[in-house]
Amino acid sequence: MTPALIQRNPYRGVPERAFVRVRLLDTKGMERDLELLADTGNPCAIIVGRNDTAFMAPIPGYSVWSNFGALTAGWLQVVIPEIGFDQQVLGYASDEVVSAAQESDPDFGGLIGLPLLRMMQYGGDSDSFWIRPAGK
Amino acid sequence: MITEHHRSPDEIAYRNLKPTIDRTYSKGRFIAIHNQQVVGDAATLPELLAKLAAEGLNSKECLAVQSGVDYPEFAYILLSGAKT
Repeated sequence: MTPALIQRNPYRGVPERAFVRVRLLDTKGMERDLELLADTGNPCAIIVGRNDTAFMAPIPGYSVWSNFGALTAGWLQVVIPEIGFDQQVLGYASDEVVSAAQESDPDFGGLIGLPLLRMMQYGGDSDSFWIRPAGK
Repeated sequence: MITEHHRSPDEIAYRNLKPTIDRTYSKGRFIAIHNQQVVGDAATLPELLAKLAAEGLNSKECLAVQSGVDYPEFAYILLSGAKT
């Protein structure tokens, strides 16, 4: 039997938050693993810290203004090995947003928002939040 | 306080070009804009970067978008600590 492709993460932080583990890849093959607070109300696919702009491709994306100020836009290669996800995604950088996420848990490295979550299946129960490959 | 966002000339051009881009290219195709014009397209971002390089264009001076995708102009992020 083929094992189910799923990433399941128990809620974490104070207050408890849903999160997703992703890997960023740069054009030279460098990797960075991040735990991102899942925020389905967020219209940005992914928001990371300014240090992680090093993982953005060398071409700008369409930037966005927010209630946290300007967010730098750039293209990130986002990989989630457990569910076979590997796509170029328009992401944003803001240390202020990351700091706010870290108020719940200092290990959070950013946010994952609805545009990226809807590229897969997602859901949760009383104990954990999960993601699966997009349905066919 | 929320103030007006400064947009690059290529970002402003993209707003006007978007309907044409969405009609012309398949959804998800990567498009490069430079000097307020479409200068390249490709199925993937690495292919687009290679095309721009082959044409002698500096990708850092271009804008990359995907056809058929709507990008937010403003994002209200519901976390504490916002500096509104």
